[in-house]
Amino acid sequence: MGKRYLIIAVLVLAFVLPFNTIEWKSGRAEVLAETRIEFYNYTYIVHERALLVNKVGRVVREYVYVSIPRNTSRVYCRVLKVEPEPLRFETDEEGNVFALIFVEVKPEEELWINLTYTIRVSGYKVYFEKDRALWPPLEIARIYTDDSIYWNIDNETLRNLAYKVAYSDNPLETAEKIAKWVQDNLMYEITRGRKGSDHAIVKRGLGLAVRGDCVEVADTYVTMARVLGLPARTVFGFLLTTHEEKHWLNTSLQEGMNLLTHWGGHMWVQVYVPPWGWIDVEMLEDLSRPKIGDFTNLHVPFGVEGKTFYGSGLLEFIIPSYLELEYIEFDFKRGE
Amino acid sequence: MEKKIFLTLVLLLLCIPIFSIKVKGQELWYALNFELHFNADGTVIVRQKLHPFTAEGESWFGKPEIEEDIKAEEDIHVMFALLLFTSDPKRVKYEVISHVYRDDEEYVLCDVYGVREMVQFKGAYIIEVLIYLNTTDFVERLEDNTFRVRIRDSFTSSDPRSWIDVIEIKLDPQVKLMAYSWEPKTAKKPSEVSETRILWVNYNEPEAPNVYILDLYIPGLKLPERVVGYRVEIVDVKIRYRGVAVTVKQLGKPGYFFVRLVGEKLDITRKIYLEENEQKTVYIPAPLEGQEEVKVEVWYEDYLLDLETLDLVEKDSETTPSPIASKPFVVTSILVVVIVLSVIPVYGIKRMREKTSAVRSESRVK
Repeated sequence: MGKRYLIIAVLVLAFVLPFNTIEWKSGRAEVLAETRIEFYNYTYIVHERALLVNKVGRVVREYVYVSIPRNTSRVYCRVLKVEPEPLRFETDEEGNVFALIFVEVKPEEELWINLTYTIRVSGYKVYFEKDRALWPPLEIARIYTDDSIYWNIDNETLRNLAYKVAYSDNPLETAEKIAKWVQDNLMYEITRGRKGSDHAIVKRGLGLAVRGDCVEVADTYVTMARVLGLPARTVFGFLLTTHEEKHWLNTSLQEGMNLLTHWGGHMWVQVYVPPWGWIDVEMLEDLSRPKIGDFTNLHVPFGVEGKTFYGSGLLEFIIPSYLELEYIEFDFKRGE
Repeated sequence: MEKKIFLTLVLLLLCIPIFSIKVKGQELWYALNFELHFNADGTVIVRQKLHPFTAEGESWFGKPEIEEDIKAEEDIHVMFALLLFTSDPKRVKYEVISHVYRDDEEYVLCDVYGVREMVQFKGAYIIEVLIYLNTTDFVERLEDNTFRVRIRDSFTSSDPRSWIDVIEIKLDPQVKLMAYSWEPKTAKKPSEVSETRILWVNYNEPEAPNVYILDLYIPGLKLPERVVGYRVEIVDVKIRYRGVAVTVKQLGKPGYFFVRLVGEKLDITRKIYLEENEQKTVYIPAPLEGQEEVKVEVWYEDYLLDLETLDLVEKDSETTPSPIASKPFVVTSILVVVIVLSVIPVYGIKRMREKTSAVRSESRVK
């Protein structure tokens, strides 16, 4: 009787457990297949104006280049008004969009450039299944791990640093480690001129630190990521503190840190990690932890830099030649 | 009109807020006239003629401080010459055949006032750079010795308001112009075209091409099939949990290399830095399910250095079972053992009881 019970029990197990195993495996596969992403869309209406002044002493006839937020899978911009009327919209070598405006301004005269556009930003949070992270395809690696005037991957100090603090077999881990190191070793100060990572990295005590503002933070990150084969690029635009606020800059003032109270021009980083694609990396929004794939809709991206040696000239938003840009303002409000 | 580089004495860029600030001070511009001479041997000489002027149109040619600045910034001008033909100047072989010098008899043209009339500035700072086209990345072979050469306006590329005012392309008699075009199409066509010369006169940036495209027969241009000096060999390839471990050895110059896995719908690349004679193992996580074979490649820039094919069907038996695969087996075994162990005592007690009751019934019979 007992022998029979034993045999039956073993037979049942022999049949049932393999089925359980198959179910368990496929259940696991499903989890892997659906990394969760939550989106937080927000639409702004932006009124932008810029004051150009002719201080040259002759009539100035020139083209002014006005940066417009480029459309991506997470950003949708619709231009409602541009004054003076642009000749056309174009893209630069990076694919960033600008309006081309011809102006004629007499000596000592002023000219206002006015734009209105809506921009829908998809904030998002990715709940990563870290094991799914992959390194990039060759073509992406070739383009986005190359060096540039700001990202010198042959700098031995940065190369050694990157290998020491952030080498990993998992690209997401590499992304996190670099961000953590940069954040932990930041000497924040507003910087004049773009120094590039070679000059952003400085000695501090026995170690190294990043000195500068968001641009130096981003440039150092991109260089370290590229050294380790993680495709990276910079994004320029704004970081707001609330959904409705006005940002302005008077170019004749030299305000130091006070500037941050009314100007949120910002640069951050994106890394390319299949299967998710480009993921935003933010190191300055929350100084207690870097945010990777956790992108608030308080960011308003305008364009990216990643393919060209000199980056994008459109970082400056409004680009005249002989005319002088005296004042620029972005008024962000809730849009429909 | 102008533009071009706007370098100068006192221009400052504020960066946190990404923005340029012009501080009071003199701002200078350069008129830029370029001559590109394509030689039959596959080189090109870039002759840059620069003339500095103020926004009012006043020439600053000959001012000692300007001359000093231009000489001090020669590297930047060389860089702009290289960037006509490449995105990666470090890869380009070149020679500076004339360092910055002053030529009082040269003329440089520029539409300073935006009225579609060229101002003719007298005098130029000149720098000449010889570039080996076979080390650039904007050259593509069309057939035999015919090549498509893309010349990118390196000034527009770095600053949308800048452009080359005049670009004159000259060809050796043995070099033949097969075709030409430009991008974007909204830009203006060349002012003059002959068998050995093309001239673009650009009054403003929107009219200036961003890219000048020439199809040229160049008898002496040989594009390299192998890169010189960089050698990396694949020493070992092993399948490891959810990926492949590739051991490579550096046998040439140090540098960055790409180690790539290629299979069906699979293209995964890790970039590594190898010192001289260094051997390194790099692990590439990869979903190998469903792959019968994958190729392991090592690249230096555009050059394939080594290649190995990994047969996954054969290797299957050598593969260390992954925790996912092995866990159910372990769990099953443990459960079987536990059940057997728990059943044995029950079975034993039952047997003992049966024995006892047999004895008892025996006695009763007795």
